[in-house]
Order: sequence, then C-alpha cells, then structure tokens
Amino acid sequence: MFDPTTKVLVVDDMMTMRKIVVKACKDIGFSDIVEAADGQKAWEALQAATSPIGLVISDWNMPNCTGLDLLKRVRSDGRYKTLPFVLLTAESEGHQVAEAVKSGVDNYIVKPFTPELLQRKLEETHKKTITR
Amino acid sequence: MNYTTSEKDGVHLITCPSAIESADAGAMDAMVKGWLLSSAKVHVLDFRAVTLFKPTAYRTFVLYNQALKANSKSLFVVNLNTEISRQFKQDGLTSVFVTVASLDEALKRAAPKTGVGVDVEFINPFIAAARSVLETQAQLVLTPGKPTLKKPDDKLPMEIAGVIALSCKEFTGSINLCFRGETFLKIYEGLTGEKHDTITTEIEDAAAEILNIIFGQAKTVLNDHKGYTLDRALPTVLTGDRLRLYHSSKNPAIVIPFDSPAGPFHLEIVVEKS
Repeated sequence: MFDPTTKVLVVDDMMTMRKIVVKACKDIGFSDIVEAADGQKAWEALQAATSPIGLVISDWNMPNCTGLDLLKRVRSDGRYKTLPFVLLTAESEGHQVAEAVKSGVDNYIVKPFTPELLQRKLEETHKKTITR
Repeated sequence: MNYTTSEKDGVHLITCPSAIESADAGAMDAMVKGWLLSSAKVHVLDFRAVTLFKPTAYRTFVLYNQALKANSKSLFVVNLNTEISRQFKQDGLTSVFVTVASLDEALKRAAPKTGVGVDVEFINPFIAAARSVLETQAQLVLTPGKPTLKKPDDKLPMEIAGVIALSCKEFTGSINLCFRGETFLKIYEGLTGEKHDTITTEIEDAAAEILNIIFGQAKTVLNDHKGYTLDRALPTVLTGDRLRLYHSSKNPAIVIPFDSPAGPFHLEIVVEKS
C-alpha cells in the first residue's frame, strides 16, 4: 500500500464529493491531502506543490478541464508519466473505461464507493505502479 | 489459452478456458483481432468453464468491447458464475461484460430500439440506482413508493433539488431529485459525517452530486443494456423555502417517492419526444 506520508491530490468540482474522498483517504491513513476543484486547478496544484504529489484521485466529469483531460496532460509531461492516477466516475460505460485505459489511467472507481473499496483500489494501484 | 469459436444465427460464440489471464498479451491481442473479423453483429463469451479472471486481462476485453461498439456490434456474456459476476460488479465492469441468460436474449438485446418513453423499463434503473447510491454512500436503506403522475396543482414540499437535463436521440426532458430541508441535512450528514442546521452554499452541491451518481448508474444500464443513447450531463441545484418545479412539457412528470430513515424525498422525471 502507499506510504501514509504520500501527498494525495483529490480533484472534484463538487465540494461534497471532495469531502467524502478526503474523509475516506484520512480513514485509510493519509494525512497530506491537497484539493482542487477542476482539472486546470489540479494541474496548477501539481506544478505548485512544494513536496511532490504521489497520487492523484480525480473525478471524471468536471467543467473546464475534465479528469480525462487532466490525465492526458499528466501523461504527456515527462515529469508525471509514472504518477499514480485514479479516476473516479459516476459512469461505467464500456467505451469510457476503454478511453481511460488507453490514456494511461492506473485504476478507476465507479461511484458510489465505500472506504473499503477505495482502499482496495489504491492497494491495486500501488502494486501496479510500484515497479515502474 | 484455449478459446474455441463458432458462428451460428448471427452470433459469434467464443467459449472461454477455465482461467483468463494476460500471460501473453501479444497472443491475446492477435486472437481478439481474429474475433473482430467475424461479420456477426452479436458476439457472446461463454464463461461456462471460467473460474478465474485476472484483472490484468481486463484491458484486452475492454478494448474488444470498444472495437465492437465502434462497428455497431455488441458483446454479451453467458454462463457467468456468481463469484466472477461479483468481481465484475466490484470492478465496475458490468457494462463491459453484459450478462444474458441465452443467445436468444443476446440477439433481442442487440436489436435496434424502437419507441422510447417513460415506462417501467426507463424508470426502474433510476429507482435501483437511487437505492444503491444512498445505501452505499450515505448508509440509508430506501423504500421506494408507487410512481404517480404529477398533477398541475400538486404541491410537493421541497427546499432543494438537483436537476439534470436529459438529452438523447429519442427525447429531451429532465430528472429532478427533490428534498425537504430536514431530509437533505440528514442525508448530508450520512454522506460526509458533518452536521449542519441549515442549507448553505457550502453543502448544497450534495443534491447535484447524489443525482449525478444516480444518473450515471441509470444511464449506464439504459445505454449499455436497453439501447438508449442518453448523453452525459452536468447537474445543477435549485434552492428556496417553498421551491416548486414547473415543467414546460406537454407530458406530466412522473413522481417516484422514496421513504428513508432520513425522511421522505422524491424523484421527478419528465420527458418529451424529440
């Protein structure tokens, strides 16, 4: 599992969902959590972070810059090519999942989710990303 | 790998081995390319023998499903055991591996849809999604009531509503999730663990988010399993002491009431054929 000192970036345009994700992250053991309200602000937070962000948990459907746009931007920048990236989505239509997989997402979580599911998905993500 | 294929009555049937894993991704991709050459509109994976499906093999099948859809073809699964069914559900893959009871059902499901409206087939996914979302995210067990048609003079008490505009080839309309203030505040507490006495701008987006997740789940079922083509939409929130919703549609709204430990609330769905 990720080290609890890992800095986590939680991205969602809905404040309520950010609270739910942040609370679940804290329950899992993370304490260094930053938040952003859309993909553009998340991108700015990645650049501005004084200590490196080690995990991104981002909503998909957001105005301005979606989670998929953010993922593509992150993967096209050499500095973040291996940054663990998890998409949260309210939809699980096959073509969308495929689009995320093609764009380099490490894992995805379909809402609604329990803290236990989040933990399991993060464990999977850690196993998948630790070797690269 | 020990997959066998056959073709009959417009169905490309793939009988899968007991263990599905991506030990040789290149060979898997080549095999799938071969399956895609079939002219059959309906492809069916027979999981009768499957007892292990490693998540590392998901990618191949997700891309296979996507390639089929891009060519207006469909993928279904028969003879799925309960354990793997649970695995797909937990991993959000029920729309990739759509389970059917028989090849006939696969052919029926894949047939083009005609005549779309608000009926049981359309409403039920919203009821199921509302129950699943509130139970998982706010630990609230819902009891749905009987859907009714909203009359022009019906005064349904509400102080906050999440609203999503529905749009697809067949119709336009809206879906509205409506709460009394007291009920909303209790649901908010269930979602976040935070207690609030009044609805403020800080918490009102929860009405939109709950509806967004309900819509997302129902949309997946309707688009992937029932032949609808609902577009993605962003939700908005309406608030007010004596909020009332008026729909500029010739059709009356369908009201679906729910009872919950947090109090009653309801969904309003209105559609008009394009």
